[in-house]
Amino acid sequence: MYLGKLRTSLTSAIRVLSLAFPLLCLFVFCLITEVHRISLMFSSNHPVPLTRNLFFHEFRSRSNNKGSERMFSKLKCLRIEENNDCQVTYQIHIPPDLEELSILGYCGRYPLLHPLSPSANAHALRSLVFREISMDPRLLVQVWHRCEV
Amino acid sequence: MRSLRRLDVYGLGLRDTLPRHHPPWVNYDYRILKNALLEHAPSLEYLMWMDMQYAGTIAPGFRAFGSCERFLHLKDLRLDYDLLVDPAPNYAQHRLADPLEILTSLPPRLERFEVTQFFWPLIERAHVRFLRTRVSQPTVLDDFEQLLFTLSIKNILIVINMDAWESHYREEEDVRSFPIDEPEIHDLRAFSESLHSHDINLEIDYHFDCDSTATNALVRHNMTATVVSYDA
Repeated sequence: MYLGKLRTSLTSAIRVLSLAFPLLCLFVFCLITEVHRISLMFSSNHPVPLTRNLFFHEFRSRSNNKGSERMFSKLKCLRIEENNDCQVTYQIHIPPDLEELSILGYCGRYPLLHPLSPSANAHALRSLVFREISMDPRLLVQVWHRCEV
Repeated sequence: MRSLRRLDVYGLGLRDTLPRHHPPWVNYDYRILKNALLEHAPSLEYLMWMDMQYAGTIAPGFRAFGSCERFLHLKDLRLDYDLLVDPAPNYAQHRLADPLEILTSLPPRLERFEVTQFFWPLIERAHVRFLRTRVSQPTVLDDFEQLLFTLSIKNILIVINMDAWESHYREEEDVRSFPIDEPEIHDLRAFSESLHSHDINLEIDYHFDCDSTATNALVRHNMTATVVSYDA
C-alpha cells in the first residue's frame, strides 16, 4: 500500500514537471530575449549583428542614430513605437537587409522631420508603415534623392 | 526602394496636439508622392493612406492622389475620400465625384478598394443619381455595373463619417448626425445584393468623428437589420 501511494505521488510529480518544464523553458527564453533587447539599447556604440526581428519601445535616436547602419547590419524588421523625444531630428539609416520598417505613435513638438535618411540604402525594404505620427510627406519623398518634393 | 510592396500610412496627425493652422500633411500635393512611388516603387501592391487629420480645413497647396490606374501591380488600395478626389474650394460643399470616373481611375489588378472619411450627403446624392432613378433610367446604373464587372475588384468598403457639423449649413459649430432614410438603406442593400451575385462584396460602414475607430455596419450581404440605435 505504501509503495502504491509512492507510485501515485511520483506519477503526479512527473505529470506536473512535464507540464511545468516547457513553461519554465519558455520563461527563461523570454527572459534572455528581453535582457538581450534591453542590453542592445545601452550598447549603441558597439556593432551587434542581429538576425532576428527587433522591437524598440522608446527608441532614442540620439544614441542610435550614429552608426546604426553598422549596428543593425543584419536586421530584417525594425519597429519604433511611442517616441516623444521631440528634440532630435530622426535620420534612420536603413540597414541594407532591412525588409520592414514601422514607426508608430510618434508625435512631438515638431513633425517627424526625416523618417528616413536621404542616404538610405533601402534596396531590401518591402514594407513601410507609419501609424499615428506627425510627418511632412515632402520628407518621405526626399528619400528618392533627386525627386521633386 | 524598388522592392517596396507595401506603404501603409494611418492616422497622420492623429495624436498631434499642437495648434496648427495648416499642418504639413494637409498642405501637400500628393500627386508628387504618387509620381515618386510610380517611378521608384513600381512593384507596389498595397497602398494605404487613411484617417489623416484634416483639422476641418484644406490648405491651398493640397491636391489629392487622383487617379491610381498607373499602379499596375496594386492589389489593395485604401484612401481617404479627400485623397482620392480633389476637394472643392469650399470644404463644406465637397463635390460629388462621378463614380464612373473613380472606377476608371482604379488600377487594373485591384482586388480590394476602401474609401474612408466619406460623407453621407455624397451617398445621398449618389442614391438620387443612380439608385432612385433605376426604374426610369436603368442605363446609368447598368453602365456603372458593367464597368465594375470588367475590373478584377472583389471587395469594396466605404466608411462614412456621420458627424454633420452645423457649419455645413450655418456658421455655428455645433455637431449633429446626418439623418439616414430607410429608402436609401434599402436601395443600397439591394445594390449590394446585386453585386454579390457577381462575386463582388460591397460593404458600407459608418462612424462618428468622436470615435473614429469604432465602426458600425450599414450595408452588408444578407443584412436586413434596421439601424435602430443610430441616434442613441
